[in-house]
Amino acid sequence: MKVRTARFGILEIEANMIIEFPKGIPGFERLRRFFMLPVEGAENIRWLQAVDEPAVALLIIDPFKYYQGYSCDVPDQIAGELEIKESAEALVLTAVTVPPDNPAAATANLVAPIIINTRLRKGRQVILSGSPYSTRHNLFQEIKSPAGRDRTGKVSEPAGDTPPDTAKKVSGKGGV
Amino acid sequence: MLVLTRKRNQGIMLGDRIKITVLEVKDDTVKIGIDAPGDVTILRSELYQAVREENATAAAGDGNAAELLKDFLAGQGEKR
Repeated sequence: MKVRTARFGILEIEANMIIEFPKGIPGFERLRRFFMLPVEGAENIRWLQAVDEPAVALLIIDPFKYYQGYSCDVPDQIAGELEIKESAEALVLTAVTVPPDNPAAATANLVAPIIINTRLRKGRQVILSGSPYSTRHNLFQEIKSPAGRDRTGKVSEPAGDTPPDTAKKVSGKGGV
Repeated sequence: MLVLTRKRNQGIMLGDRIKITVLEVKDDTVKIGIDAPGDVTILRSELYQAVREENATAAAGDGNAAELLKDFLAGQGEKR
């Protein structure tokens, strides 16, 4: 089928590339069908393009490749909704926001991973309740200094009255 | 919007499975207890709103976003 997109022109896609999002995604609740488009030369980055709205496409990445120690506990009811039977058929992705003039300030939405059942091509963006993550984690800051390595070095030196736990506050603004 | 006035320890039923109870009222803060089945998602509304807004911002990026990101990643790789 032919799909009109704002960024990539008219694309010919196979019906079996379409991923059904029965509830849409927050902010785009009416868009139920998406498909993934690879980004040439960057295997870890893809677009998630809406079938029924040419302008809506999100850049998505594999959070486990960019954030060491990222974990997302898929709630049972979501796994049930997506009919995920084994973890191997679940694909976890996160949307990335790239400021047009400053790619270094790109952020990933770790509190709301997009979970896809690859077997049934069914997806859902899950908002994790009670997680330490927020909607905006700096992508490159965390690549340069993964949690647990030298980024905390300076603060965790036994230097006078610095409270030791200041070093552990990474960028988790949120939780629920 | 339906508006109900409740006192401390009084509650509201939403359907027959969800019960909301006012546990404490202090200054401008209200502590609320929620009894709901496990399949009901409970979120602070500002988090849901933040995700909506972030999706809208992310989707507003143009086609160059991928190129910008890719080039920047390549640069990062060289530096490491």
